[in-house]
Amino acid sequence: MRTSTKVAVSLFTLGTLAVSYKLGNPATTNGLTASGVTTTAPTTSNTVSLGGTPSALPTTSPTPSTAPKKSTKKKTPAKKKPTASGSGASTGTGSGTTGGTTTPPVTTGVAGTKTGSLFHENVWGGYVQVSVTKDASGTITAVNLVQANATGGRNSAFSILQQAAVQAQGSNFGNVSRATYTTQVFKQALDSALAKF
Amino acid sequence: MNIDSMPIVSSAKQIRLGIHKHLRLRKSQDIVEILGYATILFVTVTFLLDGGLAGVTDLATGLGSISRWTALVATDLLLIQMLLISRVPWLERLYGHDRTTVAHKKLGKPILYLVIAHFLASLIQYAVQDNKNIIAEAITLITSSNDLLLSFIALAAMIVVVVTSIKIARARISYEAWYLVHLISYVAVIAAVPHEFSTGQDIAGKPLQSAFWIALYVFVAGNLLWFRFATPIILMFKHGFKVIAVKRESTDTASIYVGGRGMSNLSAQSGQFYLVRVMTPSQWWRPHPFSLSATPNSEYVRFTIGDRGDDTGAMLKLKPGTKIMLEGPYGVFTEERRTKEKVTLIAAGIGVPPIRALAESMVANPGDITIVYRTRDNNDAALLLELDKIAKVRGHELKVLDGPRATPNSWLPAGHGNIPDYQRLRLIAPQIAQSDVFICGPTPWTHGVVKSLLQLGVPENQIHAEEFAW
Repeated sequence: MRTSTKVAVSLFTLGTLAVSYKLGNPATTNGLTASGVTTTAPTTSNTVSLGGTPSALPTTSPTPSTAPKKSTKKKTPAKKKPTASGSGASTGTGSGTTGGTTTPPVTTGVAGTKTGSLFHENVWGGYVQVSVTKDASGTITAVNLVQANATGGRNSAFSILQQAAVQAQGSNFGNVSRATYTTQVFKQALDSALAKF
Repeated sequence: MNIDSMPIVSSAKQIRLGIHKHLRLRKSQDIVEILGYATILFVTVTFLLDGGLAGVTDLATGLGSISRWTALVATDLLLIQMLLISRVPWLERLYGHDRTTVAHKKLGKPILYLVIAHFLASLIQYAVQDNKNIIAEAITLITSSNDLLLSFIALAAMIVVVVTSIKIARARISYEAWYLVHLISYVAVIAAVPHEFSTGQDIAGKPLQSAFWIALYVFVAGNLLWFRFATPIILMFKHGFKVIAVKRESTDTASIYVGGRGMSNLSAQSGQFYLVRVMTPSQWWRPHPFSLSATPNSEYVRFTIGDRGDDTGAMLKLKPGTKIMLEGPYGVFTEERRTKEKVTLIAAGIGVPPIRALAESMVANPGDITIVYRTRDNNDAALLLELDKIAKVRGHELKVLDGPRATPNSWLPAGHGNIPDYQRLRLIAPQIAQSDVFICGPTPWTHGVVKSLLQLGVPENQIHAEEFAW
């Protein structure tokens, strides 16, 4: 390169790198500890038919302390509690699937707990299966881990992902960085559970 | 055509001269270099925007960042390195085959270091996160995913390739062994791909970055497959190249005449070379760079080669009819690089073929071109008679300098008096400072000539030399 080009390129590089470093600060990182997982405002599902159906709330054991009617836009720290202990309480969701047996006659009912399929993450060898609990209005009140494991110290990502799923009311939330694969497979598991409603 | 009736194909076309030509070339080179450089900047910027550095909080995240960035830059450089030997015409025209090959070689070690840094950083990172020792972690990684197993294989292959390419190692192993080992580099590049796209934090699940990398891979692979593999094969079948004659030029040199169909369609110019493969079972996979020793005509291209004790010895005994594969033409040691009306052509030994071809075809009025031919012995110098004839017909000055060198460091033969080479050069070729100088000969000798030229104040952009020892 000619000297003049070299100088121009160097200056441009320094500027670009400085700017991208600045922009690269937490704003776009939703790391394991970052809280900014609200990517899209959750769309409160108004497609839910509430027509006084016998609210098939079978054994909603794993959705304890959370108030059933929650303004979905707020991230209440209270939510974190049940989900954080979710994996421990996941045994309760076993009945979630069987809870479906009470619903068959009323297909319009949305409330209940459904368990999705087990998904494996083939790169690192983790796996996730979740159950989702909805209240009568169709709002996701809890996402619990039926079974889950992540390698490389990424198990801590699950509580963030569970929280994110409740906040986003679905799988439309950002990546937990450094846990990209965990996020991807978690979303698959979540979607498969949601598909059962 | 009777090969004994030497045709002189002096080009009647006009040639653009002047410094602007040189500046345009430098501009184009800058653009290409900026493009290559921009890819590195792009991957670094996206890395930073993804919080590559901002996310560093402890040892593990720090190592993670190192691992990511070294991987991005190494892969980018690796693709550039592959492009450099893909013989893509726009690179060959701008830099010449010798410079792209030198750049290709130079990139080898830095890339390996970056890849090793990436490997160690990610291994230690995961070992720290999993609270395992490094060996246990490596085993976990290898067994957890096929993609990572492949990447370990890629690393091993890359180490082998670089180590065998280092000068000292190359001197110890045969060219054949080195060549075969070098083919493993394709394995290394391909085996590394899956883990980049499946586990690469800066690629997997990111559409912009994925698109960038896919485009880069496709671009490089496409150029490589087309220009390095498909083009020569197509050319061979189209023209059906064959040896039509072999003619002794001196005790250890001979000219090989290669003919075929539609030879006038070849785009070769004087000063360029082809990679020549003799299509016999034992030779076909070994290409030899040979310069054209005559301006291409409608009947044949001609190479004059010296017996250097390897395959070239056998080539001097080629039978007419032997099938030949030609890759090229390559090289920028041509009139395209000329900026001045006056030209000095300087050759030594078996560096004479391109000089002979340039002397034949360069646009010139009588007296414009001076030829300096350095030989061991005038009675046994290749192409000397032809040069003499061309000089007479076209009005060039021909100065033949023979005999042992003046001093161990001199590129000129012993002469009268004890004056430095550059002063003697001025006496031999008085118009040298106002001319383009084309030099072809052994590397140390060439460096000697270039040094003298710089001492005489010849601007660098008027000095043209192509080194054959790569």
